[in-house]
Order: sequence, then structure tokens, then C-alpha cells
Amino acid sequence: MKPLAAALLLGLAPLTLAASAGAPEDPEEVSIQLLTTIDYQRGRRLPPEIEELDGRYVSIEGYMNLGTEEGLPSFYLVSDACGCGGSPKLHHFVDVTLPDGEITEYTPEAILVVGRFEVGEKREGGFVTSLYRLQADSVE
Amino acid sequence: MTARRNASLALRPAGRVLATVLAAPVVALAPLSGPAVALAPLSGPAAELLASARAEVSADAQGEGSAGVQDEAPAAEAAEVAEVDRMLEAAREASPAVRPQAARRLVELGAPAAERLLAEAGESPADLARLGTDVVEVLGELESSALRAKVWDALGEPDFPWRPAAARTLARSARPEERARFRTLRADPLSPVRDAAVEAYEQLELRDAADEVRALLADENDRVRRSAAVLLDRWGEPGVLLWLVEDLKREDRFFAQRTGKAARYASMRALAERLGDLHGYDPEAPAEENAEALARITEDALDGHPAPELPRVARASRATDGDVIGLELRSCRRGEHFLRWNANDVLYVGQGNPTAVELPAGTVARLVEAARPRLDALGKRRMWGEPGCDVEQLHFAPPDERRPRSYQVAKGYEEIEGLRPAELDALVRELVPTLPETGADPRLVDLRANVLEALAVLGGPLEPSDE
Repeated sequence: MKPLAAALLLGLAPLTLAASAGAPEDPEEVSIQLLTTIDYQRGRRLPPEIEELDGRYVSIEGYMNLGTEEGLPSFYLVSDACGCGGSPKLHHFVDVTLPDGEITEYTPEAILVVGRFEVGEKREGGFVTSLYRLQADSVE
Repeated sequence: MTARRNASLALRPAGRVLATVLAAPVVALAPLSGPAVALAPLSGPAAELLASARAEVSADAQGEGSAGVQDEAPAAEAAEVAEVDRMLEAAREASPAVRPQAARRLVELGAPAAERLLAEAGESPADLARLGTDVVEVLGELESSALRAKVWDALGEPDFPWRPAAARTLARSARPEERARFRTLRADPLSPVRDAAVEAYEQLELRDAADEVRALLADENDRVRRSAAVLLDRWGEPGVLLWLVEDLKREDRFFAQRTGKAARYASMRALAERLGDLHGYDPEAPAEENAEALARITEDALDGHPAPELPRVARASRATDGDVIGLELRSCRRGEHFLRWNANDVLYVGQGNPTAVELPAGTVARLVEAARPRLDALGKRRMWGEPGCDVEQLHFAPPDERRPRSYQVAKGYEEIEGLRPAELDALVRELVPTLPETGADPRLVDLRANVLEALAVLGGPLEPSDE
């Protein structure tokens, strides 16, 4: 948002907007720590700074959850490579769905995922299966 | 809070239980890892244990003044048993996101779940371990003295793989008669267990032991320090929030892991809860840009009292440039070690504000030269073993490589012979002799011996050197 605000002040906004029409959207960098350090309780509203991220195009750096199976279309993105605290709590991971045709190949190294972010409890079979989800365009 | 169930639901002959279990539907919950596994009906010694468990749970409930045994509708009881089966299966086999929720449902099911789990818990900590960390995480809250005793026994076993989960469930449901036992956990080698001890102190309102919590303000783990500071603040001790304010200034990293940022966010949230307004503090900005906010937060945290002196381990530090090799050992049995070899021939020990050890000139260059061909020989593979509570990770980040590499060795509670590949084993054998045997900083005391012990339970004992 800051570059656009600066452009508006300088009177460059129309030129900036015209130049960006049709160009790929720039992802907004989101720290995984913002998401994972909340005090989450089922059914309770999330902090506004997190709810506002729903639907946004973002990039998030993190790690594939230890135990990610190879060959799947999705994985959990977590904040460290250990996962040594047992099963990750709902607010400790982002459920990342890979682009069509791609499958998981586990790495313990830090990765950057870019895509459309979704916030909110997803329920299946009487359980909440995720709080944060991301449809990835890329994983590096 | 645990939903209490009438113990009158409990007692049925083992034979009827077997029929009920066989009739219960098994529901697959689309696990992310591993197929759903149907629980086998109980028979033989397990069925005897179940009958014995029922008697113990019933005695517990009646001892707490519940009503006498009543007959319940057989269908309702069968449904309840089936639900226990379903939740137990889910707590062990469903996706990682679902397992903790299913385990929590077991607590809500009360006595029938307690009976079943007491039977499944077996006779030894090794038997209990097979229930998995998510089930162990709730056992203390099932209001069963017999289960509780098993969890305490397991916690006392150094090789029990789920000691943090055991400590947490006992702490959340701490009983006054356990005070002395929780006090011993303050010195546990595992930081999550020490953190659970702080929770127990809070649950039991052990304000007369505030000095014991105060001692944890110098713990080497920042989460433990944070928990101790928050508890002392709740008990009215002035100035302790300064520990959290200091975390707001942290900029440390452990290779790609942003340990300082994680601490900034965690402390920010805890401070916001205690103080409210944080004067525009931005955890994404460097400390210099937050100077005004930090000054005002400090003022609020001290509330007119003098600033206490922070121990060195609690003071904020910056990221160091030039870290080239890292060894990260996280064992659910032998604790954690974070070691970084820097190109300036400095060894950093610990996270956050590590202690620094000067190495002989040329040490790290020699290690890099030894590491490269061995790591190249491993090709693209980066992980050995299986996910579990023990993780050993080697980081390699020479300046001439664009991306750092990480090599991970992991295992569950069972030993895996020959887990660490020979190339990593040889490299670790080069690293260990550079560790000091001891030092003035507590993190250096018996460092080399402790690291060797942790390595032995993680990837396996180091093969003897040919020298």
C-alpha cells in the first residue's frame, strides 16, 4: 500500500495504475509469526489484522511440516522445521494447496509460498480442519 | 473444563463390551498421513485390564460423591462406547489438525473414555507411548487417579517420548498434593516441561514459591522466561514485564529461522494483553524505528518502579553475519542444542543471545572444506528417518552458495539403527571436537558430553574415529 500512497502524493497515481493494468499482482508479504502467535479459541473471532487478510494475494515464508508425505497436492506450512511440539495447533499452520498438477516433495529448508489467502474455520466431519488456507501460485 | 459423567454408565460385563465394539461403525476421517485403522475388539489381557479399569474409575467417581449405579438405556451406552472408539481412533490416526480435537473430545466423554484409555495405557511407559502424543496430551484431564499415576510414571522416565505432553496435561489439571512433584520439574532438561511447571505453579497458586518462578527468569529458553514473567506479573511483582519488553528488540536468527521475530510477536501479544496500548509498536520494523514506542512501553511496564537487571541470556541481540555451519538438536528425551560455527572462527551456543566461544584460527574454514564433499555426496536428498519427537538438523551456508542447505534426521520413539547417513556422521565427528567441554556460561557446562548424548539418541552414536 505504501508505494501506491507515495505515488498518489506525487501525482503519479494515474500513470502508475495504467502501467500496472494487466500486470501480475504483487503479493503482500505476511509473516507467518503474525498468524501463529495468536491466542486462538474455536469459534472466537480472529484479530482484525488477520481477518483483513482474507482474500488477499500474499507471500509467506515458512517450512513444510515435518511428516509431509510426498506426492500429495497439499501440505501444512509451519513456522519452523522441527514441529517438535506435537501436532500443530490450528493456528500454527497454513494449509497450502499446490497449483494444478504439482505434488509435494518434502524439503526441510525454508520456502516461500505465494497465492490467494483464506481465513476462517473450515469444518469437516465435525472438526475444524484448518484456520488458514492458501491456494498457491508458486512455491520456491 | 471436563464434562463429568455419571459413573453408573461404566459397568458392563466385558463380553457385552466386545459385542458393542464390533458393532460400532468405523469412520474414516481422511487423514493427511496414513490410512485410518480400525481398532481391534478387546480380548485376553486387554479385556481384563478394561474390567479392572472400570472398577478403578468407578471407585474414583464414587469416592468423589457421585450417585449410585443406575441402569442406562443399552442403546445410549453402546453409542457412547462407539463414540469413544471413534474419537480414540481419530486421536491416533486422523490428520494432524484433527487429532488434538478428537483427543479433547475424549475428555468431554468422561468416565467411559477414561476406562478405555486406562485399559489401552497398558502396564509401562512404553505401552503408554503407543497412544501417541495427542492422546497423552489429555490423559491428566480425564479425572482418573489411575491414569494420572501412569502419566506421572511416564514423565519420570527419561526415555518416554511424550514427556512435554505428559507435563502439560498434568499441569493443566494440577492437584495440590502434587506440589512437590511439580517443583522438581523446574530443573527438567526439556524446556517444554519447565514451561509446564510454570503453568502448574499458576494452577496451584503457589505464590509462596514466587522465588522459584523468579529463578526461571534466567532460563536459557525464552518461552520459559516469558511464562515466568507473565505469571509473576499476575502475582503483582513489579518490573518483570521488562523481560517481554526486551524481547520486542530481538533481531536474532538461527540460519533461516527468524527466532527474534517469533519472540517479538509472542511478547507483543502477551504485553498487549497485560498493558493494552503498545503505542504503535511494529514487530516488522527494526528496533530503531520502534524507539519511541519502546520507551513508552517500558515506562508502562515499570509503572514507576525501578528497572530490574536482566540476566545476559534474556538480553536482546542482533543477527550475526557469516554463520556457515549449524547443528540443531531437538530431542524429546535429551533437550535442545543450537550451535553455529561462524566464518570468524566463533562458535555460538544457544538461541536468542547466545554465548560465544573463540575457536583457533582457520577452524571453520577447515570444517567447510571437510563438509562440502560429504554433503555433495548426499545429492538432493535432505531428510532421513520418519517424523517424530527427535530431530537432528545440519545447516550449511557457505558464502559462495546462493541458498543454505539443511539436512534433517528425524525419528519417533523407536530406535532406528544406522539412521544418520555415513557422510553426515563423518561431518558431525569433525564438529564435535571443536565444542568446549565446559565453560563459565551455564550453556557451556558439560556441553560436549551433552551434545554427544543428544546425538546418540537422535541419529545414533557417532562411529568411532579412525584416528
